[in-house]
Amino acid sequence: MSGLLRSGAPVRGLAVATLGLAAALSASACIRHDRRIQQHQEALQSLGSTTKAIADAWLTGRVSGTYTHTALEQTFRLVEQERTALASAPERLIDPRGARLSDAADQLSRLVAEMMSDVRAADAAGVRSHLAALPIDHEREKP
Amino acid sequence: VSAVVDLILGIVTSIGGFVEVGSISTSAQAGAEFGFQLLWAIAVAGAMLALLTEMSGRLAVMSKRPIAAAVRERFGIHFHVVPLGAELVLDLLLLTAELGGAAIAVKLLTGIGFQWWILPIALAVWMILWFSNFTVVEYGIGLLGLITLSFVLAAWRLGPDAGDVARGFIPSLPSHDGVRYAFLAISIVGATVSPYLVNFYSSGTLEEDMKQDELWVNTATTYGGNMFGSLVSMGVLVTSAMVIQPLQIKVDSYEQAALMFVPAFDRWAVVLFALSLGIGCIGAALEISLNMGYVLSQAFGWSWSANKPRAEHARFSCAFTLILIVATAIALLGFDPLRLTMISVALTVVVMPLMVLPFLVLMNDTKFVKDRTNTPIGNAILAFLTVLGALLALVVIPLEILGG
Repeated sequence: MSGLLRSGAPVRGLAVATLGLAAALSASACIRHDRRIQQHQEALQSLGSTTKAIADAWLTGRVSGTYTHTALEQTFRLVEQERTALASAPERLIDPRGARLSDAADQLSRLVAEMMSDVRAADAAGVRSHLAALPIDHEREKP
Repeated sequence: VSAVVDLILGIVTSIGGFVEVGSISTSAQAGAEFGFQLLWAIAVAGAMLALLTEMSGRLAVMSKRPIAAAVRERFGIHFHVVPLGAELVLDLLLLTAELGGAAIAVKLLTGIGFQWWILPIALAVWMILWFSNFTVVEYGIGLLGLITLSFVLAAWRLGPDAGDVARGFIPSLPSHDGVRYAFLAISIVGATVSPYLVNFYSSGTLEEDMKQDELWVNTATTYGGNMFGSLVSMGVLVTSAMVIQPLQIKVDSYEQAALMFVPAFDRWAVVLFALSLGIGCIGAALEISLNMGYVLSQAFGWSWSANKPRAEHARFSCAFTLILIVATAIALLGFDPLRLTMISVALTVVVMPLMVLPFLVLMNDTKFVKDRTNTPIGNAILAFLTVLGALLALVVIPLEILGG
């Protein structure tokens, strides 16, 4: 160790290695953070599309009210899980993308709950109006 | 004539009994996320299962021992306790997932929470096991399971492009999310090549008292049944790829998966999906419970048979009853059946080498299979499967963490 301190080159080498390691670790943390944000975005997109598909099927009379209510209830649970997962990591909420996703999750959660109530009341107009307000990226729906 | 009838019944019931909670989940997810690109994985897994079940049937016919008893005799209890323990854990998880899957099927039709249905379903499964025999479990449920052909019918009605489907049988790299692709490919293998299927088939061969001159029935049933059965899993994947993928939905629940039937069956969609899921899961729950009775009895030398009064084989009857009680208790805790399924199929891959390796020894031991030892090609495929199984076992858990 003392040899290392006496010689300038090994100290510089050690410093470079430490900096390199720190850079690699922070880059890896950034990639992981971005990946998590992307996963949340995909999950919420999928749940928004699910809500739309279930509601469309009910509005066209192809599925029963019982199934629609059950499926929306399950979707609501999954949205809540996503919302909790997003909110459980402060660094994700600080990120503007994470904050936007959290808002979208709130809105989706509320809309699904309202649609469940509409379906129970057999209120097709209510479902249509809530469907139009779904926070999903319609461009991404194209196959 | 009797052998031909057995063959037809065997193939038909294999088709009906092929699809259960694991194959529906993995194929639906694969189709929704990667289109037809993972069809090859189902074909490979079906061929692997056919190969192993054929060998387990041949071993049972030639040695008059089921696979579990043969492993114990050839390798000793110190080795056998490892695959036996692994299978106990796996079957318990899978049985829990099957009970949950069946309960969700009823929930789709009634709207009443799935936890309420677990106890009645478990009781129904136990009553069938207690009051019926092997033929009822094998043929009755297999014939009812033909409802799962709805997946093939749905795929056919949706009219996929034949060229696109054919390209799915050629392994190719995905354009996105390679880790998830690899995880799903391995999960399809884990969902298809379940140890319980091999042990159950081996015990069933003895229950039906198959003779040496009927070995051709064993070969034709295993290859024909599993190949046609794979078609049902492929039907799930193709239907999901054509309906769920364009909607950009990832299948995280059976409620989402049920949507795949809507364009093909309209008003009948949810009913057909629920019946397919429910009957598939109940059939698998019956087989897994019975299989646990078989393997425990065979490992510890207890008498066993589903064709005799239950009191004559008390420990066998207690074994399947106990495993069903434990699985029911776990299911009642409210685990998400779909997540439980994905965990159990990944664990199946972890224990796969333990399942395949004994075949390599047993199928070349003339004490067990007499003059019906494996051909060099059969051995080469088994050796390849053992190495492949070991590699998959090493990567499946990291893949589940990264891409699951």
